[in-house]
This record gives sequence, structure tokens and C-alpha cells, in this order.
Amino acid sequence: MGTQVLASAELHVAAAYLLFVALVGVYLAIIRLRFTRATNQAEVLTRLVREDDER
Amino acid sequence: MHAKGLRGLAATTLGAGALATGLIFFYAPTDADQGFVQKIFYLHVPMAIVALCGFVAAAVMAVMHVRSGDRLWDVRSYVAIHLSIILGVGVLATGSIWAKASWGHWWVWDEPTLVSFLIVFLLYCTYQPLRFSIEDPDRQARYASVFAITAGMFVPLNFIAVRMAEAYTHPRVLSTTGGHMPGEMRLTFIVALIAMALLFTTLWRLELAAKGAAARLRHLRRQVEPTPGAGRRFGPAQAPPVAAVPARSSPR
Repeated sequence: MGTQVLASAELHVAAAYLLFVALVGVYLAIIRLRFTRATNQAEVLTRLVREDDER
Repeated sequence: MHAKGLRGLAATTLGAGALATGLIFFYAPTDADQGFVQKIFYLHVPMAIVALCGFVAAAVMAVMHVRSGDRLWDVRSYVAIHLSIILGVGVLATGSIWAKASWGHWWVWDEPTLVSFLIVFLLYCTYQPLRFSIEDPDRQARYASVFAITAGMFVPLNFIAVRMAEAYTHPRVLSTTGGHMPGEMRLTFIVALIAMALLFTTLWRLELAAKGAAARLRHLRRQVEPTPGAGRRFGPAQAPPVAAVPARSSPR
């Protein structure tokens, strides 16, 4: 009985902390994806604008 | 602009997070009444405090926007609300897990603390649909700021109202008696709160940096897109690969 209660408590604590890590992880992955995409596209556009100005 | 010092801040946040985790699981004593489940408290309460402070901070930034007319303040306010909503999801989820373990129920409807937080959370959930239902960028920023200020004033009022409520089963952490926390628990809680505040600041600055990059991209798009009567800036063979990027007037 005591072991079951302990296991249940550990499970709940683990679930709460994992949920938090997952929440932050997903958020970071989305922001990183957006950031990388925007930076890459901005670099391409900057290069094209520079080439066009030189011409 | 916003990325300056972000690396150092992220490293500090990581260090504070590691320290808080160490203190939670290896230093703070197990609660005599609740047992191991009480460890959720070090995550749940700082998240709730930081989320509510984030809403209030967003209101202050919205005031700055209304006063100065600087759109950057509106973007800052928007990001603070966005992050606080995400933390709000975490608060509700971890609170439910704790309630199930401690009370045997996922949710208790007659508990003022739970219901009031849910009301605040749902109120802020209407912010984004309201914001993005307005196309004109200036009107969008103005209306969003008015919403942020009004809702931001509601947060402390709500907090006081809950404190004045007569009966509650939800534990009081920050009360006049200090929540009866022993020294080790109090120290752990403070470190966890600082780590959570640092995490919020880091993510806020990261999202602002991402928005800065997106704004730069929009500016470049305007430079390369054909203007009426002026023809294309680039020939068809040199068309920049930006067709996949949707043009937005909002700081989404």
C-alpha cells in the first residue's frame, strides 16, 4: 500500500515536470524554426538586393 | 537588436534551472503532510506567479505603446501575453496533476483560486483572436493595447478578490505567515521562482529576436516586390524565393 502511494506520487511529479519540459521544448522548437527560416530568407534577399544594386 | 546578450541570459537561465532542480530533489525536505507530491509546488506556483506578472507587465508595455505610439512596445506586450498564456497552460495542467494526486479530483469548481485563474486564462485566450481579426496594423496595435491594459488591471483585482474569499482548500503559499515554509523549502522556492522569471525573460527576448528577423524579412520583401507602375526589380530568372512566405501586417 505504502509503495503504491509512493509510486503514484512519483508518477504525478514526473508527469508534471515532463509536461513542463515538453511545453518549453515545443515552444523553443517552433521559435527556432521560425527564426532560422526568417534568417535564411533574409540572407537570400539581402544578397539579391545587393546584386541588383551593383548591377 | 534583441539578440544582444541573449546567449549569456540563456546560460544564466540554464544554470538557475539546474540549481533549482537540484535543490527541489536533493535539498528541500519532503513535506510531512503531502509527501513527495508537494514537489510539484516548486514548479506550479512559480509558473503561476510569473504568468500573472507577465500579464501585468504586458499591460505596462501596452501603456507605453499608447503613450509613445512606438509599435515596438506593442510587440513587446504581445509577446509577454503570448508567453504568459503558454505558462498558463502549464499552470492549469500541473495544478490538475497535483489536485488529482492530493485531492483525488482533477478539478474542483468551488475553489476560488482555481476558477479565478481559469477566468484570467480564458480572458487572455480571447486576446489573439481579437488582435488578428483587425487587419489595419495601427488599429490592431491600438485595440490590442487597450485590451492588454484593461485585462492587466483585472489581474491584481482578481488576486485580491480571491485572497478575500472566506473558505478555500487550495494551499496559501505567499501569506502573511509565509505559508509556514521551513528555511530549506523557502530557499528552494525562491530559487525556483528566480529560475522561472529568468526563463520567461529569455523566451521573451528570443521571441522578440525572431520577430525582429521576420520584420527585417518583410522590409526586404517590400524592397524586392514590384511597385505599381515601376515594374519588377528582378527579372523572372532572379525572382527571390519568398513566394512561400506569407506577407503579414501583424507581428505574428
